Amino acid sequence: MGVPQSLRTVEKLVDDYYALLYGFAFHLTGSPSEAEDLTQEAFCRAQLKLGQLRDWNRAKPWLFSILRNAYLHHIRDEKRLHQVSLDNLSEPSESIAEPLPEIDPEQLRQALQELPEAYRTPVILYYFEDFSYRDIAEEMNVPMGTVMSRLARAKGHLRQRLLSGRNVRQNAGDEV
Amino acid sequence: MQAMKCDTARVLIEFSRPGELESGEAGLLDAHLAACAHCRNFADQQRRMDTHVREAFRKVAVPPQLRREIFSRLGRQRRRARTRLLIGVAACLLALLTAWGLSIYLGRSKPDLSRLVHDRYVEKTASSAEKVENWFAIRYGRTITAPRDFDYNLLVHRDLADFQGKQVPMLLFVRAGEEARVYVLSRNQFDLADLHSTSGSLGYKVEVRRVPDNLRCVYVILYSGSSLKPFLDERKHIPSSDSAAVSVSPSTG
Repeated sequence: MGVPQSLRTVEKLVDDYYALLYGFAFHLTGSPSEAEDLTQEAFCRAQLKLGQLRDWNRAKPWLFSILRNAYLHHIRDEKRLHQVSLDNLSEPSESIAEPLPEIDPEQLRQALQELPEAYRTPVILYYFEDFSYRDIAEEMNVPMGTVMSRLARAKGHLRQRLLSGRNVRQNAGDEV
Repeated sequence: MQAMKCDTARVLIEFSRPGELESGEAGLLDAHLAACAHCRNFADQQRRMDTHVREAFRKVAVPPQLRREIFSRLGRQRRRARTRLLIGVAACLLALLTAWGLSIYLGRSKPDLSRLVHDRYVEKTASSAEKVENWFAIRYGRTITAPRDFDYNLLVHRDLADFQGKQVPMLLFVRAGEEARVYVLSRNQFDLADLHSTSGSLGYKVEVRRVPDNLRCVYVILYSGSSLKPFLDERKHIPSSDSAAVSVSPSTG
């Protein structure tokens, strides 16, 4: 069972994962053009390192790791503006609007970009790819407890920005 | 077993994805939710929110040209890698060739001019037929019979020379601007039957002489001037048989 040796090529990886990798890159960068470039770069790096992929069943987390490292390399010297302070990341709010409001993609993008990368990555992996806490911890090379803590804060921030009753009224243009 | 408190339950609800909780904890949480409507509503709300946010995350429009661009870039990377490899190989070859060329260039020896004079002196003082024969024997391992009637004070050069594609012993005699080249031809190299002297042209004549006591060789003498007489040692002059064809009989070879 599994991918035959003859098909274990970078072309197969592209066909199987390019859409997923682009989605991850898009949520990380918040920019379609940056996401395209990052996705291409990730596959180029994968082509160079293909010999390191011993377990083909672990190709997805391997590719996600390559892309994240490429992203971190890019942002290393950049000052990320408009990011919220870690202290301001709140606990989950109880005042969730009912029924749940439609989430505007642009609103989601802005909310994600407000998060530091250390918090953005786990919430993306959690929601976008249903990574387990263990997988997220391995991906980021941090303890599982750290993953859970960051995830809780990041989810709380997203909910406050996207789903809370106050923000929904604000987004609708009402003055509060 | 102690019942779970709401504070604990709410924390676990936050992280209660299938397979994430230990079976003991999952059981306690299920029991608490069955008994606590407040936490049950909270759990339901969390699940709905997670589902809602997850759906928003997955609404990503993938650019239609992305796959093609990825393959194009991968192809360019492979071509660059091949080019770098070729350049690397070429650079190595160039380095090897340069090293080889340098070794030849630096290994050149300076000409020894004093030896040049010495060698010429030795050559000039090989002023006898016997010394010439000895020289060919030592230098080339070849046994020849040098002409006895020539004046070896006129000898300026002796060595193997190309004669119509074959290397043959050659003696060069010079006098008053005229020269005589004596080629010693062997039956092993040439068909010597019925060779004739000729009048030649362009101021040169060709005389063919047999070698005394050796029917396997002949002398072919190319000379300028009116005759060979100036090159001969009068004391040892041997009449030539140039008026007759030189015949080398296979039965006497």
